[in-house]
Amino acid sequence: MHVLDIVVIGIYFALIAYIGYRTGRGNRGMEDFFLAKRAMPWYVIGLSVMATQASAITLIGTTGQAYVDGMRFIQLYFGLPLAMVILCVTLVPFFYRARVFTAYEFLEKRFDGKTRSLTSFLFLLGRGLSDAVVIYAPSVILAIVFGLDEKTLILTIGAGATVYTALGGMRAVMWVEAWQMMIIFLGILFCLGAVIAGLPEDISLVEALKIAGAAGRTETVDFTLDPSVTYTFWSGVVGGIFLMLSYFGCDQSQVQRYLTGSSLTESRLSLLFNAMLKIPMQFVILLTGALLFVFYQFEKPPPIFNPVSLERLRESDHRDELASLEREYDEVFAARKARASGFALALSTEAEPEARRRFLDADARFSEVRGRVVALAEENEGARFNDTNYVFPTFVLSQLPPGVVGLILVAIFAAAMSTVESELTSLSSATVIDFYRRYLRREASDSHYLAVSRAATVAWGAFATLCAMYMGRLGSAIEAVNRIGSNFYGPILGVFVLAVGTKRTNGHGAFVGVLAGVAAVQLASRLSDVSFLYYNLIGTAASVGVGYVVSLAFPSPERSV
Amino acid sequence: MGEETDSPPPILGTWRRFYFVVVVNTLLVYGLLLLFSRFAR
Repeated sequence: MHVLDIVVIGIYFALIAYIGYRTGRGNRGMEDFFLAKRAMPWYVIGLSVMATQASAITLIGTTGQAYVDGMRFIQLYFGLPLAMVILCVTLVPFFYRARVFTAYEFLEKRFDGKTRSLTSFLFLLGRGLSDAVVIYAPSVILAIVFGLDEKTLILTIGAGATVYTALGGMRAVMWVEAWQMMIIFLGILFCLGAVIAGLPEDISLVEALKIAGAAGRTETVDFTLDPSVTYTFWSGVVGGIFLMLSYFGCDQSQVQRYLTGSSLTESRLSLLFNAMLKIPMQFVILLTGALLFVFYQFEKPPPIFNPVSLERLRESDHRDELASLEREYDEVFAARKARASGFALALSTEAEPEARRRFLDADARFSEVRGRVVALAEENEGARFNDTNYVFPTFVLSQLPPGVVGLILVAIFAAAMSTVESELTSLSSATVIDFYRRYLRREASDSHYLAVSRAATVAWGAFATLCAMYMGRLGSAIEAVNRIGSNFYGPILGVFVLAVGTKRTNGHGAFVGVLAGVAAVQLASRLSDVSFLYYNLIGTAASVGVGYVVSLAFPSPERSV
Repeated sequence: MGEETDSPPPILGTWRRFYFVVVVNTLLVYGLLLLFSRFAR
């Protein structure tokens, strides 16, 4: 690694340590530690909410996704702004007025202790292991592409985030996240600029977009009605609204952020800030990936983007087959490059349709040969092979100057660490507030709860870092639990809908409703091919329907909220 | 700290107008993305 990159990374860590130290002093109790004294301004909350969502894989994987599959992924976020408005009108005022620490605490005030404990437990189950994935995924990619030590990266991200979260609490975390989000914004804009600057001189931005568009990389709105197609306008708006309502309305990592607002106005503004910025931000990230596709029309990409797998393939018994495929790969790349240039020249002329057809033929041949290399790698590795996440880091390392590489690495670190911090604060708050204080020590001093909160943060951080360390071995098990965990949000949203939208629902109904929602999502995922974006809608509907009907069999509740 | 003040943003007067602007902005973003999609096809 170049010394300039090391300097940039060093400045980043010094900066977040300084901000964390300056803003994290003076925690005296749980309200300070978990809710930043309920004194945060909207712009810090808004940036912190965005940083929580922007994991390193958002930055690395989304660009790769656009390179491979185009920009249709953006439709996932179509429901987000509308969900933010719905939350500002409905759940946010309820949470705020209830003066709760966790979203699930509100459910005890409205229903009973068992409903609160069940939803909080499902949250811990779902989020507990996802932290390990958030640490592990970027570490393994950066280790492979940049030749860094995987374990050192895991420790840097995991232990680094744990230490200042445990010391500084929510206020330090949120200010650090606000700065991290600005670094991420800067990194994203640098990436886009770098890809545009890397295009050949005779290819304008408009021509580049036309090339990407011809190859299906700029499709951002798809009105297909088929519910099995993952990313469509309808799945994005309908399924996306429920996904985002579930995430922002019921996930403690999000709710905890807007509970820190110095007033209800600040909390609402932070969500609306997110509503306005999220789609444009994702657009820029995806556009970078689509233009990366154009960049690699003129600059030969490696046959597969994972350098370690490629090296293993070169040293394996398949090396002769690979050498032959690589010769073919060079030929199809040269042919596609010539036809991409020809297509750019023919734009807006009578020759455009024919030039487009020739370019698409060449692209299909190129993809077919690359597909054969991927199949060979799959055979060699003995596992499913996907190098989507390696596309962007490969570009950064091979094309960008020293210093800028460091800046992009810092943006990736910032994205990973901001998500880890948020997970840690939410996991520790749910553990301490919903279980420790609820069941073990109802009355204790502020300093006792503060010490326990710090210990819970360290424990979750250590657990996530250790799981990340051994993820290579535990990978499929952790992923399976993680996937199941993500199915809990819809049913939990259903309980919140029952809580604020109905008067008749009682604790027994709400409890059974959650379980019915979880079962409905499991059935939908196993027995149908409906897009996962609809799972939250299914879970919410089942939870609301069953919860309400079961409530009718029990006495009407006495409400305290 | 943490008081329940709920004054809408001064620039738009009421929350309802603010929400309306967010929804219109969202529809505009959908439209721009559709145009982008068609333009670069």
